[in-house]
Amino acid sequence: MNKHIPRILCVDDEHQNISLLQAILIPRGYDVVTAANGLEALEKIQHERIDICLLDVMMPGMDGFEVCSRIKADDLHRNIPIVMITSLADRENRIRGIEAGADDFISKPFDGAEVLARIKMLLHVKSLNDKLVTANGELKAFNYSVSHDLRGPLTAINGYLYLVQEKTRETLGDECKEYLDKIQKSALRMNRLIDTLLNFSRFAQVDMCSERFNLSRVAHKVSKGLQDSMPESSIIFKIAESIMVTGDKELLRVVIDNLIGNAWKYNANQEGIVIEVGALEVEGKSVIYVRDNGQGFDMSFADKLFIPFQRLPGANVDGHGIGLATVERIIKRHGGRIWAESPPGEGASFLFTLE
Amino acid sequence: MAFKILIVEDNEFNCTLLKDILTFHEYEVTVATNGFEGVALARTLKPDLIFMDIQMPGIDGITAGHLLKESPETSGLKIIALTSFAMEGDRGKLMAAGFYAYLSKPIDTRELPILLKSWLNVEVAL
Repeated sequence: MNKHIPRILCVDDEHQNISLLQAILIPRGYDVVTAANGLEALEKIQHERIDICLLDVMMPGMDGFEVCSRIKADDLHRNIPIVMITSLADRENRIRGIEAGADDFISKPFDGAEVLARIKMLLHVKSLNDKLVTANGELKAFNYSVSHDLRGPLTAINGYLYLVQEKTRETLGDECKEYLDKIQKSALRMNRLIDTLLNFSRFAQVDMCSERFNLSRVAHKVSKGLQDSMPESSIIFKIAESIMVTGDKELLRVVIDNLIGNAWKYNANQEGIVIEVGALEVEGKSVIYVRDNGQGFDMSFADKLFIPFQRLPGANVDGHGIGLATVERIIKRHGGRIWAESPPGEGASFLFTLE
Repeated sequence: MAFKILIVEDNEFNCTLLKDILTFHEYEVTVATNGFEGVALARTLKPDLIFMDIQMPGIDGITAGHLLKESPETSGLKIIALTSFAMEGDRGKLMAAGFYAYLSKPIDTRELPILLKSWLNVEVAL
């Protein structure tokens, strides 16, 4: 990799201070860009690929706090570390600086060794942040190619399979029809897997839209959908009325859909199953639960349940091992927590909070 | 007489599949591989239904749709937008642009014949 020379923006209305900083930084090989006021600083942040900004607090016109807030409000540049220059022991300004988003502080008169040490540390943080941004971008690109490149051929397989099935309906033997049926099921399964993968990443990034709504209604809808899909099932639902929550309705529907869906799926072949949805108050916080009285799970796997693609040993139920990982992501995005309990012989409970 | 369907789609892969399925269901299918060709063919053929890909190089599906809606001789044609997963949020825009309906890609080959009947029957009923 090419050696990147870090570029440091020094913002101060007093030329003398700029000269002092240049005297510390230039001999160490840093590329120094200067600005004499806030507007000039914002201009240079936009156009000069700055790695770190050293920012004086007291300037005529736009002061350092304002400059700092504006940079931190800018999606493209908020990763640039900002070091505010304050006078020594200026507690009040430091607090204001932190509130404006400053990453670190140096004091006047400058201590060359300290300035260099702080810059070195923040450059390291910046490079880690930049790597993270790149990795996230690559992940998005990967998702896009999964959706397109995998789905295209699958659609063709499914489409032509359909044509073969239709054309040979009268002529093909039962055995071959069964094989075609199996191909179709596999193609559908793969299609669902792609959907699940895409949703998994989409739910981590999609903008949330918070509202207060009745989660009981969502649970009723999900349970009705399941009962309609298998009317002969004996599973009974007990859903508490008016569980009011604040959060993204679409995302929390996915949570309820997964939790109730799991309880249904894992206990489908048993008699006397009751799936319960309710809310409790624990230490002033509302905890929502989905509980069943079915087979439960081995509590030593309780932490692994939420890891993507981890499936319980012996779980011979159709699934991809990603439902609960998706659920946890959504709950975390709401500032909440989810956990699972399964005391021996008492079924499984999934409990979550929303902040 | 068989219904005439025009497919405007630049992706050969998607286009061939759609064409094969429509042909199997005994529709008369014509293919255009870009927006200009699509508009020109729509004018001469007056198809019963047009499948219009939205993301195409050159003139995109929305622009091609506008061109057809602007001209009195083609303004009554039914255009179905072919949309991708990434465009789910833009459906309102498509309806506002005068598209008759949309079909999400990847197309559901088993559902397509049913949808086709409903799109075409409406016209018969009118």
